[in-house]
Amino acid sequence: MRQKEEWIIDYLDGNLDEMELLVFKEKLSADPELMLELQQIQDMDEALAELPIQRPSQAVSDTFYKFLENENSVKPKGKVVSLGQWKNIGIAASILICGICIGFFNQESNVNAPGGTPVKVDSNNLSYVNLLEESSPMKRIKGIHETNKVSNPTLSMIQLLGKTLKEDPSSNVRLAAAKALGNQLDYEEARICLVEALASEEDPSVKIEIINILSLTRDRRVIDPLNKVIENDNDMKFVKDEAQKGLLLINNAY
Amino acid sequence: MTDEAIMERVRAGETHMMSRLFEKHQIPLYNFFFYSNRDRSLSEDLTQLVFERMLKYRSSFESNVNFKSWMYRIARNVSNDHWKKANSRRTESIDGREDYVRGDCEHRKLEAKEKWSILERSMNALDPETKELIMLTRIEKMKYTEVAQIFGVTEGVIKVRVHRGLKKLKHIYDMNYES
Repeated sequence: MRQKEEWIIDYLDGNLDEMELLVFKEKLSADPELMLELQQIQDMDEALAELPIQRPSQAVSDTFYKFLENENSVKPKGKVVSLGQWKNIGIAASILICGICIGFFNQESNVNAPGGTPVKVDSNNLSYVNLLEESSPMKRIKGIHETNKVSNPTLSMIQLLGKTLKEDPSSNVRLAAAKALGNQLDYEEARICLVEALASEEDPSVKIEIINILSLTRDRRVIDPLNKVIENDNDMKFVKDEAQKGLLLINNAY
Repeated sequence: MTDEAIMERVRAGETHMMSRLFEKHQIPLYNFFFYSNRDRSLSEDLTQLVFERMLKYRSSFESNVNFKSWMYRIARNVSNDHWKKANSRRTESIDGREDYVRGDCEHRKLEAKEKWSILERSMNALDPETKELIMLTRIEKMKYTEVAQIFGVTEGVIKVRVHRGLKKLKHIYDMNYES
């Protein structure tokens, strides 16, 4: 048999079915003490819901990733490597090989730069490929900053930034990747990556950054993705507001 | 990918996957500690310790167990261990803990609104288990089945305890507000 306390909590959480709700409301109207008790619990619950979310300092993240790095480095030699680990090694190796190959071949074929100017890759700047594979977010962010130094970006570099923007677990890294792609907006691939990420991104701060970058392009193809943000029930109001501002910016440009 | 699936991969040796769980749960976990002890630095240390323990004891994770329940069970152990050590060092028990918190409160006055400050103070007057229950059910919005797994009791018992905890909190809050 459900106790009075359980009824109140279930009522607060909206866990009573229609019949139960009817019964509970009848009880409430007949029992002023129960009504007062519910009011008190409700007041407290509302106050708790308003408590601000506290954020830990960057030190927590730094210490964790240092610990994770040490944990990875103390693994005994000769240990059986799992399928997943082989997959990661394979991905890292293929990205590295792709980067080197593209660097080699791109001496002739590069991203279609505006104005049709052929772009040449600077093979000295391939260090970002390794950095983006690091387990520490700080190092991955460093890798992203390295891409900003590349004077002639390649398709592989932009795709790698796009992959980071879509898949990196750290929102700080994704934010840095979005900004880096924002520096390459002359390239169609960068715009595509940003539009794709806009649909999948869940972190409001990263999403707002992408919206702001795409709005500045004044590209009408961005209108649809921005409308989707406005219509998406899962997006917060302030994110939708940014999308709305972006739409105005694009529409006013025409 | 679910948290349980990620933890399965961590258990299988892909320890780098722990970063995904860290990015997702570090803030709720930090809030769980912060609203229990109101000490930023201590809450950061305890958050860190939970992730270290999850990595250390990854082999004890069972795929049929809810990840969040497992994580918060570890969080409760980490917190209990800390207070046991702190109390044995200072032999002041609860009073010492309150002094510790008051010192931090002075720093928080500038940044917290009065209402939040009173609420936080009132929360602090509750016993540790009630605080944890309120945090997990009302702030972290965990399911009662998951919370019941952490505390090893039925859902009904959790609901009754949460109700009583909120009632007690309201009483303390009103007293603090009037004073």
